[in-house]
Amino acid sequence: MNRRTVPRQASFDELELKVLGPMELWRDGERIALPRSKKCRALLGYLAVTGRAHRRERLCDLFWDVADDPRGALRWTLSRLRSVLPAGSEVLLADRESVRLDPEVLTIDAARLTALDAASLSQQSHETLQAVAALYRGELLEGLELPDFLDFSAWCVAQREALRRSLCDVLRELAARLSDAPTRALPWARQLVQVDGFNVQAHRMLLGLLLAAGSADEAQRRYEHAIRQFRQVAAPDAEALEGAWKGLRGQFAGHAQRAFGALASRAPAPTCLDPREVASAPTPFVGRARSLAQLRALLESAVAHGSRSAALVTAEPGAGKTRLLERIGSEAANLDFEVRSARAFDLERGRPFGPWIDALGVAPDQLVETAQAGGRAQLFEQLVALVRARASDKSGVLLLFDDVQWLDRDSAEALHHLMLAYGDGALVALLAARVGELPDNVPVANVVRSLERDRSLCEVQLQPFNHAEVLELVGGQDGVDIDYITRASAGNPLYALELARGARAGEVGAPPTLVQLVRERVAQLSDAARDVLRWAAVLGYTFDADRLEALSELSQLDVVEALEELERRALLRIDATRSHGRYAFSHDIVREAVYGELSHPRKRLMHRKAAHQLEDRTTDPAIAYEVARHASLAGEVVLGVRACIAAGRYALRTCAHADAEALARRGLHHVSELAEAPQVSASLDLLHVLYSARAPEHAEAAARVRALAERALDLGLTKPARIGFQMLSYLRWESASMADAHANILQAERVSRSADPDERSQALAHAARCLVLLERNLGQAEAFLLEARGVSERSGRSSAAVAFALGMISAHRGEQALADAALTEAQDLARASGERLAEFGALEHRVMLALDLETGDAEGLAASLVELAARVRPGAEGAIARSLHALAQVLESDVEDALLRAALADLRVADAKYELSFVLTRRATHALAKGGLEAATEAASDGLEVSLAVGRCSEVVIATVVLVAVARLRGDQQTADQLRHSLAGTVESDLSATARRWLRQLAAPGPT
Amino acid sequence: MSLVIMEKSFDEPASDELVETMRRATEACFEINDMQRKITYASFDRLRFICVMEARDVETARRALESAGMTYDRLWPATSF
Repeated sequence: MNRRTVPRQASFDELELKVLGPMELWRDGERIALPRSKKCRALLGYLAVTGRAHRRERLCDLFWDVADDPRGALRWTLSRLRSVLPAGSEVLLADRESVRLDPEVLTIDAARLTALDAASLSQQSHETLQAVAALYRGELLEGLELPDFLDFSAWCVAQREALRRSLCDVLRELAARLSDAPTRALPWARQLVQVDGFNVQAHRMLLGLLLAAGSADEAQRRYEHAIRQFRQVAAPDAEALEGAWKGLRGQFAGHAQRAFGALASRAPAPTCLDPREVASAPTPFVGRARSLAQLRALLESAVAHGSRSAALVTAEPGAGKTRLLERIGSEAANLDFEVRSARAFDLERGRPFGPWIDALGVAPDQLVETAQAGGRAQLFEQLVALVRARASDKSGVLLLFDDVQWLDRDSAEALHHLMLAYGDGALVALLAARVGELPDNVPVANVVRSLERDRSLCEVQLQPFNHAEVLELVGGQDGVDIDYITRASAGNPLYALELARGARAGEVGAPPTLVQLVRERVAQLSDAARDVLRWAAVLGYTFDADRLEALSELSQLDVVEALEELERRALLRIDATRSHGRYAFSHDIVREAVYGELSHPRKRLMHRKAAHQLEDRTTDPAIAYEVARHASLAGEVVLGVRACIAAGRYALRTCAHADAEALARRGLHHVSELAEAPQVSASLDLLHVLYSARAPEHAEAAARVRALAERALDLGLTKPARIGFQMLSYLRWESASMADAHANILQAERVSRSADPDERSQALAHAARCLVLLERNLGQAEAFLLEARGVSERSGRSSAAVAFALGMISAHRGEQALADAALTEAQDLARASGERLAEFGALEHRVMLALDLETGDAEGLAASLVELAARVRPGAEGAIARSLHALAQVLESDVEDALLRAALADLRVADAKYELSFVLTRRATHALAKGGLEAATEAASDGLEVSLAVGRCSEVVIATVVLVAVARLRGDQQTADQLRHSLAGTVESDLSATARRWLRQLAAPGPT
Repeated sequence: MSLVIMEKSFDEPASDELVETMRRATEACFEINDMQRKITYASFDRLRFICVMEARDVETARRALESAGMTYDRLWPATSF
């Protein structure tokens, strides 16, 4: 790779951006180094391909998370791009509103492909078509997937598909024109099959050309490989391919038979040692003296001072970060450090705290249990405790985290917490990252910046190898030109090794890129090994070998042999860090090269098969995230949405909120493709996960949830409707936790077991009233009410019970007008239906509301209450009515409270503590206002005792505030302070509006 | 918490199934209202039942029973000695 610094003042003639394949920028035949950051490149590619201006908000939404200061990140990215683009500010045009690339100064390869109209291809010259076909080095923006940014990913997929179809048209035209010269047509036909691997006509064309060219054995191999591919992924048209092949064999029957006969009788090729195969011994550890010295010093200092420190090791892919971590880990173990290591994987987002589980050897269930018991804070504390426990009799702890550019937000925050909270004892954290890609991961970048600010992190940048180091690495100069390899690889160790292997195997020609080198090696594998490698790439960087047999449909023996071949060729290795039978790619680049070469249709079919292989295990949360990934990439909406819900719930249980949010958003992105009923149900489940993970903007969230809950009721989806109303209530009662919703839903199920809508509505309304009276779980109360109202409205019948519950909840919240209207309606409806007790209850609460609001009509209402009490069956109603009437007379007409005393005595006997606590506390507040300190103290003390017994927090607060005021007036500050402190734990949002007003008076100095 | 006594009579002897149905019908309301059944006594002819419960007060018990659609003959607070 040539990297030359381009002067900023250079002209921008002949500036070309290649996006068909890995992105490259060229000027005047010289390649210009682009920023390593995926987002930088993806943004540049997006602007180039779309060819128009975009609003900054749009770009922020496409490429950044809301939590990560998107506008700031966009500004930083644009400045990075300007610094590398020649005359950057004139190529990349941006103002406060929008950003675009100037199309006049930049040519883009993809534009030449899309400019060719399929209908006019036949009129294009051969040279033109050849030149356009040669532009295609791979998929659009290859390697720049951003799986967490779904809108960009969806755009990318659509563009790739469109460009692939355009390329197929060109290749088909080229091959067709040369059909009379099969040998000349073959390269185009081969490329066509590679790009459109599940198109039967493309295979038919290639096979026909091969047969016509006399390459029957290659035709046979190609067919066998193709039919196996079709069957592996259950691709449609497998039978059509079989039929096409039979037809072709019949057509070429004469010379085909001779060729196939020769194929059958051909002796097997002698086996010999393939120089491309490597010995099982690893390559030597070379160089890195300075980096090792830095890291050793860090370890020694940590032990000497019992301190914490961190280092960030950055390098290009293939530069040897992982080998360096392994080396320092081994040295640290010899120094009696406890060494724990893990790596982050781009494809394992959604595996909550995955790197921590791997590093500490913790069972995932253990983390779930801790998270559920004590929340995220306790989970983080447990991780700290586990690290300490692992280091209990050691000189220190060394944590090795590889590829942190892919570390998830939750794991990054846990790491930050560990570094801050570890306390005394030697702790060293070595973080390795691909250079230039860390800024794409804002949470990790923030942790690094924070550690830098605390001066507890140093940076170690791995330098390219020099001539001597390359010589040592490749094991001498036999069969290789070290100067050439050093130059061509630019000192990248992995690249140098690959070039050396290729040179010793006799490969000649211009040096390909590292990715191309890997692909050439893959092309030389046996068919079975290549199949296994491709399936492995679909599964991820690490994978269980036993899954390959079912996916590849090879025999167990074939799979074993394929794995052995891949190990010998150093493409795979055994991964001992997780579990038995697990393999890993020898390097990320191998996996990226293999996966990137798969056409989009093939990837979809392979991911679909991988998803369905695990379908039955979606309820296993550890598997669900993997199913979600495969299903999403396969476009399997039903399975994918279900898996996102399961994995999201699991992430919530482990307090991995960032993972939960990402999974919920992924599910919501696809949910619109479902039929209406499952779409409504799944949307509610996904929103539940999303809002539990991140508190939403209430008004917008409430509107969204309400619409879904109402629709669920319309569709008769009881449980989803219940979830929706539950969420709606929690969105209003901010202090409630949405995470409790699941338990409360079970309660709701019990409350409303009846299938009859009226009964169900009544049961829910009654339950809501009980909860308001008890002043507990008000969110649940509101959820019951919302559901009751919804059911009632759909049945078209008004219900006294529902109106009563609405009145009580509204009064509690301080929505006075609504409360009075609802209670009045409840009273009228109850009277009309002969429900005397309900009528009494509604009127009773109207009296209480009037007393608290001092409307002046409480006495009249209470007099009606006394009359009504005489008509209900004997119970506490008489004593309640007389007490409220007497209280109203005392408060509004200022009569002596002897009547009230007598009524209170009856109320105590009736054991109606709720009403007793109300009357006593209001009597206390009245006495205080009148300056009757003795009377206020007596009533407040009695009221406090009764309120505590019945659990009425609002009345406890009012009584206590009165007692504080009396103490202050008497100059007894000590008693006043003691009483104030007794209210320290009060949750204000659970209190009635009246109680909240009284509580606020406590904050004012002096007597209330 | 208070002790609350509920008296209930039946025109026909109450079967075990009926008693179980009543128990399940009141389960949710009892849970919401923090009520607990302590013990239930039945006459030998299964026509009269006395249920001893714990509740915050008798009015809470009454509201809970009425929410559950349960009728009764008498409901009164009690003290033990």
